[in-house]
Amino acid sequence: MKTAIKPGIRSNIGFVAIAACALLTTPYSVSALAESAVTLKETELKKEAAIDSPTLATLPGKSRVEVLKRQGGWTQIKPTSELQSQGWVKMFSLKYGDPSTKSDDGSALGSSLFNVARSGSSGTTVTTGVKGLEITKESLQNASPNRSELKLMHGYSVSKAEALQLASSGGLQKQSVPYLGESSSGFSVGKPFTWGE
Amino acid sequence: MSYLRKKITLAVLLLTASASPAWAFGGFNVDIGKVISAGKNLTETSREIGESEEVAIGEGMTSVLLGAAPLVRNDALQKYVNRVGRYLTLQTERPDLPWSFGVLNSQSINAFATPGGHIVLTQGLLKRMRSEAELAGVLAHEIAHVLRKHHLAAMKKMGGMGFLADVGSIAVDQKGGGGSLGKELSKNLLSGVKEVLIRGLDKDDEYEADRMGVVIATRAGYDPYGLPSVLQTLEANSGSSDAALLFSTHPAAASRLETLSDLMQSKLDHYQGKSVSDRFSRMLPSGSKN
Repeated sequence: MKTAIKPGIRSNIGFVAIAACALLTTPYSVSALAESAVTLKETELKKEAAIDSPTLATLPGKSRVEVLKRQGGWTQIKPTSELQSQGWVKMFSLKYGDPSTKSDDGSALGSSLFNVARSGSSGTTVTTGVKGLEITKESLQNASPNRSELKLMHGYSVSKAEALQLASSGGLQKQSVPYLGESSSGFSVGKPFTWGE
Repeated sequence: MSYLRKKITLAVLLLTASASPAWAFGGFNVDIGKVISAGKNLTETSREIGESEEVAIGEGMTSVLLGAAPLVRNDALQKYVNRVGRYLTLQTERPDLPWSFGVLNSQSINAFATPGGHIVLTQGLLKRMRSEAELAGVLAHEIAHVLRKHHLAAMKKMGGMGFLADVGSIAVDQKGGGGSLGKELSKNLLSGVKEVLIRGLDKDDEYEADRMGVVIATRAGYDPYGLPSVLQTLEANSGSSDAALLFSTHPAAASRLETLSDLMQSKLDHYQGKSVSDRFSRMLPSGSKN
């Protein structure tokens, strides 16, 4: 997609676009990249993603780790200077986004989505559309209801059959799982809702 | 139902004809005095808000969100999100609501449920996800808000009798005019839905939607840890201005994670689910049209 830009402002736009990319870029991606996290508490490093797998080491709280991937309730971390073994820790034992180690290198997703496209062979990144609007308290307060967009949204609704087809093609299989815990609002889950006192 | 409805409609007709209910939110005065006598009738008779009124309120609330940010112009993506969401709703106790899903063209990081089954999320949130299981986790959380009618409860708490009266007037309109579609909400209801969007829900309702959401996603065959994974991403973005509204209307991500951790590790660990990350990546291709 080519976008005509006056030479004089090209560099500015390029700069803004690159800056926007950095902001829009997710710090994570689907494939391998260095995500930094710290352990919230003392955590066992397991050989495999299973509770009965051998324990390779015990990481103290606040250990800085590099994340490889997640599998169910487990997260795989890679060796660092402080940690020789690669292994798995419980996903809930990690906190992401340690600011001192945050990486903003490109990810598979962020730079290419929605508002941003590569222009021509130069590789220069320019914004080709209006940047998405912000949804803030102020913008909601000032918003006029948009019924034509609502109509458009209704047009995207799908039938149960279409939904089940997606599940089938994704190999998703239904399971019977009861809700967790008690409803805090005093109603039992699943009971028809009525206005309480 | 019909007898009860007639009684409510009558009460509301009397109320709207004579009292002009002026319930309001925030710092405004609530004109309770004018509605109090009819309000007594309402508390005795209107124990339930009908599904059509619920949907009408949700459509009004969704229209406001769409007024703040329109849909992303990507038919394939919108259809995909609808398929994932609709499939999730089939695992719930309200599979026959007019469920509808949308991706908003906004860099803000947020997702919204509205009464009756309209759910939207921003592309800013979507592009921070890594798999369909993460998308499913977020949609299932929002679906739970609809199932439990959390927004209606919040609006009732803020608007009281005036809210019930205004809801009743929707029923009156529907009887006279063949449905709510295409109709604007009354000024009172419009300010009400905005106030709920801006103030958010009770924290307990957010925790409830979290623990119902992980179950709904797991029932559908997804990796149960999709929602917690997104919460970890949110925690990492807690300093971002793009997530300002989300964080002002929700409990801290760390608290939500801690709560889910306690619940999930004992109860959901043995369920095997899929992350479906390949299809998710294909649906968010490079060069996606704006």
